[in-house]
Amino acid sequence: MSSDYNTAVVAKYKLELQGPAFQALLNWLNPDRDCAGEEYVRLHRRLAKIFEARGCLRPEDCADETFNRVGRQLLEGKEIRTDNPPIYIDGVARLVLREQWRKPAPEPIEEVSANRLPQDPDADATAKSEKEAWHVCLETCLQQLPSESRQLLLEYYAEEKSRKIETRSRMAKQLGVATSVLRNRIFKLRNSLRGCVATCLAR
Amino acid sequence: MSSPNDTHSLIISYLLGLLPEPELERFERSYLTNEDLFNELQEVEDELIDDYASGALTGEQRASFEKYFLRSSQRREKLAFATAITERAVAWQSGTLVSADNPILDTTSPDLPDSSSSKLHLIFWKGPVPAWRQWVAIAAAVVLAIVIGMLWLRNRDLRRQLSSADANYARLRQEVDAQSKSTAETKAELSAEQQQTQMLESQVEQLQTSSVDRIGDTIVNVVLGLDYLVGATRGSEKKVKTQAVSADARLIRLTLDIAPSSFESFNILLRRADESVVWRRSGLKATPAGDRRKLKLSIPAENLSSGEYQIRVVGVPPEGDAELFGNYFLKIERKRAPR
Repeated sequence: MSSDYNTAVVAKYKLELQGPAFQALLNWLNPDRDCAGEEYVRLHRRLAKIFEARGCLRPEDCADETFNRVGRQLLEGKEIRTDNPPIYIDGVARLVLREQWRKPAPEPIEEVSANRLPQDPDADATAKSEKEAWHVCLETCLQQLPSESRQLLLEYYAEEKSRKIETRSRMAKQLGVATSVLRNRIFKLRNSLRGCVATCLAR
Repeated sequence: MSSPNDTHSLIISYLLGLLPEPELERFERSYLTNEDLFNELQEVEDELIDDYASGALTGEQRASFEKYFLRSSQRREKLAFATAITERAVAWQSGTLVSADNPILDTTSPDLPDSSSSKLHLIFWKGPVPAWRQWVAIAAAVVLAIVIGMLWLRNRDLRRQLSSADANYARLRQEVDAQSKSTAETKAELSAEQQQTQMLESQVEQLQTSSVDRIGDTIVNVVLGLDYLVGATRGSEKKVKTQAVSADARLIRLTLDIAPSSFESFNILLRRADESVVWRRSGLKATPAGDRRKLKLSIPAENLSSGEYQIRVVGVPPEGDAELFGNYFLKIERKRAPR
């Protein structure tokens, strides 16, 4: 998922790179173009995470809006005196966040009555087909993982409720690593699997 | 510097919206600049989703997770993924790759996105068996052994009860058979007595038609006094009375002397030396004769050929079982008719 995120953000970054405001932003982040691009992507992800945690419905858009505002300020000639650009950007992000909070909340999708939606006679069949495709992709992607990784992932997910915590400790002990290392390994495997399933479904 | 556990708890609290605003902002600024903290945040977030999907969160955590954490659509997508892979892993562990309504293995589906998917088969990956499962298996085996033992003991008791019931049934069956045999004998005796009665009636009828002067020749009176009685308990010696019976004799009238007793009636059985029954009579009442009693019965003479006979007398009390009163012994000597 993180690779998808990077791809999307970098694509947008390249597209907007032509804009003077964005160029000003990048120069402010780092005079080196490549380093500036990496810093932009890195900060964008973190901002999106903050907006997501704070309940923004479209966290990436909120992060974009934050950067756009900083870019416009720079283009307008505002002198931003700081040794720590991320902290300044964080301050702008707080303003964007408060504006988001002041906006009327859209009606939650779950509360839209089913009879207000257009009736699709093939909806059930479509959902079933999608579900089947999803499961087949999951199965396919699981099999594409190396045997050890696949077994590690399934064993990690196999236990339920309180036993899951015990299982993590036991697995970490068996592997001879700390639970944080195991968590990191599972995190990478999970992201790899998510990416594979997403690619499979997009075919 | 905070410990890893503190950081982990802080991240959980942050993700579940449990931090106060100042601390929350401080934490967000930290992970904006701290690469390691941000990475850990992402890892813990995914782990939290996994925990929710597998039901490992506490009630309070679940409530916060549903109310606060799941506001994000991306997080809901992650939860769907975690739920699916958890189901898949549980099925893998339990040995059933998919549930009945889970079409993962429907390899005939035309919607397969990849031709390689059609190569999916029932694959059971072997994983290490967790220790707790081994203990559960051992406990299950012990419980099973106890249950089997209890069932075996119960089965043994039931078999014993069944055997006892069979024995009782066999005993009752024997009693019923004996009773049936006794009833049959009684019926046979009754039938014999009916035949005797018919014979006697026939003899009486013939005697009635005979001339008066010939009656004295055709009826033979035999009196057996007390001195001929061999009692059941008295131990007196056997004494046989010899009686000559002419060829013309039609009826033999037996008179048996007996002492007074409490018996209500008597059963008489006349048997040959070979114990074959010649005559029987039941319910015979004793008639008083001074200080004695007499039992009288008539027997067609034709039934008594030459030979020794035992006359068995059985007393029948008003209540209770009949008992042997005594025996008389009689020797018949039939005379040939003159040519």
